[in-house]
Amino acid sequence: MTLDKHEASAALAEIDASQARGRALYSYGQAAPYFFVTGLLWFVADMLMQFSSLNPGLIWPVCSGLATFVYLAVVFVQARARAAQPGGKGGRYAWRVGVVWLIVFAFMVASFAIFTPFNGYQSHSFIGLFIGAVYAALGLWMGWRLVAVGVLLAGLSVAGYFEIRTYYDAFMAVVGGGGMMLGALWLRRV
Amino acid sequence: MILDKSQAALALADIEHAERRGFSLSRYHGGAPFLVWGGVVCFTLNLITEYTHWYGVWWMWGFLVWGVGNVVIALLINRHRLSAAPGHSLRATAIGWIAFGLFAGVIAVAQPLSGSQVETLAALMLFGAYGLVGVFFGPRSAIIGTALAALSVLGFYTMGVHFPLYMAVVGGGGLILAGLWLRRV
Repeated sequence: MTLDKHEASAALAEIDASQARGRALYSYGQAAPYFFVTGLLWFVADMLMQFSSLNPGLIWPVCSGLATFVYLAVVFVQARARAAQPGGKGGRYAWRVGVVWLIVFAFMVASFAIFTPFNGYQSHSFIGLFIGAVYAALGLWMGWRLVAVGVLLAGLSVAGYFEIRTYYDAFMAVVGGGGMMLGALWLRRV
Repeated sequence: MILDKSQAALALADIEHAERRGFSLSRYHGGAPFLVWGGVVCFTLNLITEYTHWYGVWWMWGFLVWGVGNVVIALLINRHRLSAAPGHSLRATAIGWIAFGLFAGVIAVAQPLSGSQVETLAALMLFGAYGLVGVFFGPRSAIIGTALAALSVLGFYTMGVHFPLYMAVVGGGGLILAGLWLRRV
């Protein structure tokens, strides 16, 4: 069988598209656990803030501390899986995830420090907006589903700040936490 | 010549290291003009603010000029790259819009009381982004981003009314020097 120039070019374009789709699906699978853990943390912490009588100053720090252990476990499992692949570089992956997390954490702390005094609504909406923007930016490389989740999360975080007061925490639990968990399940669907 | 297993592994590691270094150097070379241009804009705007004591409308014009300059640089760079990926400019534009949306959203939510708060936020976003880029493309970007972000926050707390002059030197000058550093092999 002989291919002419156009057929060969079309075949190469198909291979390219299929490789890009494979990469996007792999990235979705890698990102989904982080989405789910973040969503669960957000949902539980905000629901406790809204409806429980626990000390509000402790709810987010304690929940975040617990979630950090789960993140570390996810990084460890994913790094081990990468290391097991031929030519895998699990160590470099874990190192990069750690540094990215540190940079984001430092950015949040510095921003809060600059805008002090910052009330709960402001800090919450800031986090929602920031995480939404980060996911949208990542989605430009990983696939459009992330862009959709990110834009929605950022937009609703700002809308909630201006429009909702009494049930703000519950709103953010559903929008932020619920949205991210749904996003995680969506990402895992091929 | 026959290579044993460990020699072959070493040779492959060398090749991979060289590939990685080549990739980093090519990114540095491509990124340098953007840093120098950003430094020039940052230096000029801050110097005007230092002597007028006002974060005025020229900051908006300055951002516009900065954005247009970045597009021109990107077009000039891509003209010399025969194999430039077609999705690059679309992604770069989208990243610009996302950053702008984040910045505008944070300003709306945080309701800053001073121009120096807004400038420090912009510096944190820009330099934080350089830091993140460095995690994937090479350590020099990470060093530049982290150092300039830390210096911006330090200046915010310590420089008082001379914060714009400080940012002209540290932010603007730092970016120009960083751009020149990136061009060195």
